[in-house]
Amino acid sequence: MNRKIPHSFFSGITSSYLRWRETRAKKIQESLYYASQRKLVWHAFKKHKLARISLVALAILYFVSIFADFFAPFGPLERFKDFNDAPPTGIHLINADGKLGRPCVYETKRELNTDTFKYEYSEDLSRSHIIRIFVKTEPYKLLGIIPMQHKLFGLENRQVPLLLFGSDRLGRDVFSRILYAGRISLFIGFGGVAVAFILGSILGGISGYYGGVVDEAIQRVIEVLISVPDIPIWIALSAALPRDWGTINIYLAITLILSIRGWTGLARVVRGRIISLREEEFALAAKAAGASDRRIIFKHLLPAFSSYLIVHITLAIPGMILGETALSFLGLGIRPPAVSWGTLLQEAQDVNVLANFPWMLIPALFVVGAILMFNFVGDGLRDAADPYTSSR
Amino acid sequence: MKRIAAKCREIICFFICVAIAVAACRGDMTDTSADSSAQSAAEVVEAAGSTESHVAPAIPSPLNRVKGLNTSGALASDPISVRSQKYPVPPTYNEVPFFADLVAAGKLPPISERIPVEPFVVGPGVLNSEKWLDWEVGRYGGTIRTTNLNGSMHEVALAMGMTILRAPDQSTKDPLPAIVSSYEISPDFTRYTLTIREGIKWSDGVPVTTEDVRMTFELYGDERIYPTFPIKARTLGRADGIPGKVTIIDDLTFTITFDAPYGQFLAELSSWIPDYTLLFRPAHFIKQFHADYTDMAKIQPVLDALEIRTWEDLVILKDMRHWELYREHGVGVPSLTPWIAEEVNSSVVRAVRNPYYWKVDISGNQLPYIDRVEAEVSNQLQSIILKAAAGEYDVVTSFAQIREMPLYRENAARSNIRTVLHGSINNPPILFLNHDYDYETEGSVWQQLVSDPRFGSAIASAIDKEDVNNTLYFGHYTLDGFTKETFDADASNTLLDEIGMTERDADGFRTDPRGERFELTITTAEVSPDFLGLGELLKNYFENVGIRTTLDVIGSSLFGQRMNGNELMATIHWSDEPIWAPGISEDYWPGFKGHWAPMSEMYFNTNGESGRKPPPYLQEFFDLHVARKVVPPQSEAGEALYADLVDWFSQHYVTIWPVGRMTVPSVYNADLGNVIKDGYPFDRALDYGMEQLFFKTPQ
Repeated sequence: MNRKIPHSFFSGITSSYLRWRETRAKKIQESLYYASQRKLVWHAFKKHKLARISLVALAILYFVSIFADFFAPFGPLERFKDFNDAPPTGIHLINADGKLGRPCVYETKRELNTDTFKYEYSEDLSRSHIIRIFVKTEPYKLLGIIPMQHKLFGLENRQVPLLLFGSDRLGRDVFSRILYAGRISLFIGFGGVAVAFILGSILGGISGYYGGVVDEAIQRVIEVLISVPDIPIWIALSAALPRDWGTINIYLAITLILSIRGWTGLARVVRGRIISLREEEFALAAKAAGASDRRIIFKHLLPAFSSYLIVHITLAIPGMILGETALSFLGLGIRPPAVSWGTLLQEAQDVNVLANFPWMLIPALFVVGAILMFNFVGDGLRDAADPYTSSR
Repeated sequence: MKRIAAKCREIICFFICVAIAVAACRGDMTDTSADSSAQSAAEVVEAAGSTESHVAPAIPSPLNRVKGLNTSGALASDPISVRSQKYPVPPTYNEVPFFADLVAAGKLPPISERIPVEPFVVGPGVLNSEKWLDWEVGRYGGTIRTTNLNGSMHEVALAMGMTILRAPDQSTKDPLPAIVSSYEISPDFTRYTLTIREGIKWSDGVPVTTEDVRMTFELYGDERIYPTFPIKARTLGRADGIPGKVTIIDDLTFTITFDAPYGQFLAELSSWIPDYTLLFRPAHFIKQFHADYTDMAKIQPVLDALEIRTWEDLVILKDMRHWELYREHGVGVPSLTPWIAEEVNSSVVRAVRNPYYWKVDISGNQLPYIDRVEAEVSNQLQSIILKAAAGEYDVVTSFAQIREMPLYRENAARSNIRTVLHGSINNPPILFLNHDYDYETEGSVWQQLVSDPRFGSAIASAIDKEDVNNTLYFGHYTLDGFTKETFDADASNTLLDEIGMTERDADGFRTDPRGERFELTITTAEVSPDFLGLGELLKNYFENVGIRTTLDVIGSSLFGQRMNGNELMATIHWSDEPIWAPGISEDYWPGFKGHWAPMSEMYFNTNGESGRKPPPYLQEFFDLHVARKVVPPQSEAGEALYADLVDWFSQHYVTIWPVGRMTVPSVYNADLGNVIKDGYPFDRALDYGMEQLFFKTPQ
């Protein structure tokens, strides 16, 4: 039998909730009248659920990558000698006695079956290791500055493998490597986009505002750059990189290579916008008031379509990430032993991985995930960029 | 002096015996020839002496170091055309069903007229030693499906390698005559007399004669066709050696003479690398395109049709080495191989059995057993692996690697494949230290380090061989190799301290003996998937003993360029160590696979005109190398010299061996017969002798 709840109880809650929503909406409505543009965009953006979740997820991803030293249980090059090509370690919540306990792993032994050529794993149930939070490790320096000696999680005995995503061909923890790889893969997008943004908005702005010979020159340069297909130009440029450069230099160079074409699209849009905006009354008024060119461009024209620029940037970052991944995948970008998502995938490009070691493909999920989230965020921003449009 | 005299006596006695024996056999040899042979035997000693002075006056020739070396000793184990076959010629032959219709229609002569008077008889222990193959008589019919990467046809071409002399497996020891019916070598290894198997025919039915040999040497000496005379047919196989001279005795017998002892030539005659095309090119075929033999009016239409400018270019195109036979222009070129190219395009190479093939089995079947070979052109190694696992090929060797074993074993039953694990003619990737790198810099630190064996030893003992083996190769490779060091980081550290790399820099790495930053750069191209893994492991090991190491992975062509420019400090590459001993391959050579002394090599090849004058320890290598070529590689003396060479390699650390020898799989259709056994030390399809494969059940 159902227990009856008085009708009035429900209606009371509903009506008070509705009232609350109404007043809240009114408040927001009121605040909208004097809200800044930034606030309006943010407000509209928050309504885009997917974008909001993506933004949070991205933030986490970036945060974890930056502090990979702390979050990753092992270093990117740390090897478990006898555990190459090992599947993810089983984490047990129910211990050997059949009771629910703290998550633990068992020590595993493995042997090569010389007939099937597969490793056979056997867990030694008598030797369990509890996964600890803030486990103490050898001292290291977070980001190379802050001395620390704890990691987010791990086993007290660091000789026992705890491989969340399994290990790669040389016995390195795939999970840790993915986190470290994010440092290069996620930030290469920022670097590339930053360069592209600066170049694009300045050159596009100059081209649009001044017109004439300058415009012609810049536009022709852009056309030449656009006419060359992406991948070949990247390949050509990265093949020209000196081989004795360190990882950092190569990284910066790859960023530049990726942005060499990235700015052209932006420059065209900026030019187009500026051409139309410079004839608007407010621009003419500024000119009539004797404002300098620089002031007009940066104070009046650029802010008028800054929202568009932000959207453009967000959508450009995944392109850069993919570019780096593609180059590294082809063996032209970041090179091992430096780790990026591209190099991790490069190592996974063989039939054996598909057939026997599928966990080595997990980096692909991170690439796809990051790209998707950037696209959602970009999508949300695009919808939000113009807060005065009808539906909002 | 006494010893030399004694040796001379020995040689003379031996040779007189041999000469008498030969004379008895042939009945046409006179006593005077025995005398002149004895004389030439006496010259051996002088000749050996002159080689010594020619190469390095200051250093005694390594030949002298070989205990008990006498050239007759090397020959004593080498019967001179005593018996040409292991098995008797079968009394009757069985016609090939594939040709039955053609023979019945009179378009093709019957089998007894197609094969030589005395065909080469294949039975147990002929193509492969009995230890590795339980040979059985096969049955006719079927098509072998195989593959090749990027249309190179390397695998199939090598599988069809037809050597002039043949020893089982990858040996050049006491070969039996194959294309020839007998051979005779003068005791000083300067004169090789060969008699072509009577009645052996090109694949178009034209008999092979000494005219083919004469033509081959004419082409070799013709600068319009061969800018330089091929080195394998020059004395000692040297670029500056005098070209061998051919003397035609009759339609089937000819002699090749060198101006100095060249025992290595016996190995060349038995090696699939130069193959039969070393001495035999189809003269009747090439002459049609040669302006000296054919009127230009007849050649011109061919030139126009092929859009080739000069007849010389046409001859170059049609005059083929054996590995070119399965390329586009190989269709229609007469050959001595079991299958001849029938159709070659960008997706498939089809070959059909050679009606005039010169081998039969002990029960009178003409080889090959299988009628056709169909090799699909792949451009993706990964797709070859997948298809091999799916049983879409009948034979796949040399593309398969041990890493894929789980895949093959898992699919064995479903795909009806059998995987055989065996050795390889290649050795696993090894680390080459370039002893000529930076040699022009005065007081070069690298030169100081690399010429000190302690540095090499430190590098070698830093490598955890067992770990490499377990991580990359399922623990199935061997741990020997030319560097004998076992993993011992302490020993490595001690050695590095000893040679003055004691200081550490800010990053904790060792500085060079002057106290400056030191970095070992290892360069490699991704020739095979294990190169990169090995490189990362090496970096790991070397940094473990404090040597800052950079791993540089570059494209193959750039790798080649940099190597030729002597720009690489250390490289990872493989070579053919398992067939160095029989003299089939000599890619231990300083400028072949991974460069370890390219400029010294240049000096050697140009007789000191350019390159680097090798320091004494490198000169020792060249002396050993030259000395080795005087005698056949698998004669007693040859083996002793090879042991010296291996010692030299172990002592001077030009190559560092992370692991010893490979174990690789070959994937076969489970229905194929005469397939090699597990554990066989080599891997070329040639050893299996593709012509002896057969399908047990009719297709």
